Amino acid sequence: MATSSSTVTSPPPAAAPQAGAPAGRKRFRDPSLPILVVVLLGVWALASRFTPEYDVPSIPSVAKEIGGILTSGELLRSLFTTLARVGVGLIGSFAVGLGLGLAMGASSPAARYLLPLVRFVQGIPSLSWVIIAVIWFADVELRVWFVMVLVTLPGFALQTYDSYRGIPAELRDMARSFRPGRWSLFREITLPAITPGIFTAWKVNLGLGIRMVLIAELVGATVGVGAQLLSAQQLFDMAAVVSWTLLLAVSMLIVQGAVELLESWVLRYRPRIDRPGRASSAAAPKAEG
Amino acid sequence: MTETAPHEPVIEFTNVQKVFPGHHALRDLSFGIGRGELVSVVGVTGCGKSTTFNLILGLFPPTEGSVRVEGHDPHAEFDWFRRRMAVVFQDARLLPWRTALQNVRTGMKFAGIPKQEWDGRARDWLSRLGLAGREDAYPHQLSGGQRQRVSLARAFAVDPEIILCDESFSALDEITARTLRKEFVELVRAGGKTGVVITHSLDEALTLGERILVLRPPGHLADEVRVPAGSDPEVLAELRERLITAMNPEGAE
Repeated sequence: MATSSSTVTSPPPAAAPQAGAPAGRKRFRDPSLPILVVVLLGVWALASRFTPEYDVPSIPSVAKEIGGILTSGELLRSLFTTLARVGVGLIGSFAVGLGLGLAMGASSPAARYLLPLVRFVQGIPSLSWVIIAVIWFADVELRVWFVMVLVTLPGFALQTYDSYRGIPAELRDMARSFRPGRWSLFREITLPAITPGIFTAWKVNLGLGIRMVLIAELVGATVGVGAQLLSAQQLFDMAAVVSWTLLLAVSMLIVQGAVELLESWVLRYRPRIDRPGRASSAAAPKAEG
Repeated sequence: MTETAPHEPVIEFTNVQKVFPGHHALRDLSFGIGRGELVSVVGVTGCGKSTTFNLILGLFPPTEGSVRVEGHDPHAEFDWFRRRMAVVFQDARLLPWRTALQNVRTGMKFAGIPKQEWDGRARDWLSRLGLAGREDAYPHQLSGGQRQRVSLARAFAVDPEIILCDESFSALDEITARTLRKEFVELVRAGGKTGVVITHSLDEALTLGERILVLRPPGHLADEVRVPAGSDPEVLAELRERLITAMNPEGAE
């Protein structure tokens, strides 16, 4: 344990901020994902040989269908419309959920009234919201948005609330000892402390949102993946069903990946946790004992 | 056996009582701390050290009596003490999402110091505390001693008139703690600050304090000891015994 600057062994200052980079490259070198894809494609190819096309379509027919979707402006518009609905719905839900979560965290009376309400909303089945939306709203976009917001809102609100309550009292007291203004306190303590929870809520709600948007689109939408799936179902076009589903799932994987990249950049201050048995090459060295 | 503070009083407790539900933390505590003094407050667990610390900080008001710091009420006039008081806590309490430099800057931001001064002051204080070259390290990349150095830099960078230490060196190993205490005393004296160090360690109190206030449960002043500069080990040993006697809740006053 060194006690003065002269004995401090200084590691490269930027060691930790870049700690995520080797992990990223490592992931691309990991053979498990290609192996998994090849095995799944093999099982699919085998299954399609022994089942009718309308049950399990062949890989070439699905590939052709996907090619058709990606080269047709109108069909591609359906995919982007659905993704946009998810995005707009989640942004609306995030804005309201964040506000509710912060209000519940900052004020006990607000928590007493709002928390049971949010938990009650969380317990309402998604399908009920779809039916209510159909009865209440004639406009399809409004229906989809309404359903998206109400289904994903509790996640944002509760995660924000929990993160707010989890802010260490020691850090608040430290900040208070400097007599900060409200905004500085929010910007420097509250916001960074709740950010990891907000990312968790986004990742969970992206999956939930994509499942919900299709159900909402099945009712009345003429554009969107849900509408395309409904049309494919009526035509017993299994290749189209699989193609749309695959496209949507892959799009969501890309969005999830982007969110995770953003998360690892925003939360770059966090120490990397190396699993036992693995070399901790990127672990930041400590200068003193 | 008490000695009065020779300086103009900056911190004054007059017949202070503090009662929490079911617990009498302070009972009739009176003392004064003069400008530019470095005073340690010692006592056994439950003697009211932390309550005294929080009263000076203004986190709550006394139940009875008066607490004045610079002639003001630290609780009622909480914001008046912005930039006038800074604290070094037991654990460094650095923001994990900020680098060493940013943590020092954040203290100044909280204290309302003009933005153009943040960077220069922060680098200067980190350098003075031996952390040049570690400005961009996150807290988890620093050792306990280095984190506490950042915490000291954060407090001194605000250039407060009063520095409060709450067991600031007690979580460190003895070698690191000794070095940091020495640096702390030099910085307080060089800056003409008033320092109050709450500690349970008698050695720390004897090293740091020009004067030592001994609290005894339930929260009153049992003794007040002046430590002559450059005292030899024999004198320090005698003072240590005197402190132990004064701290002992069973002992006679």
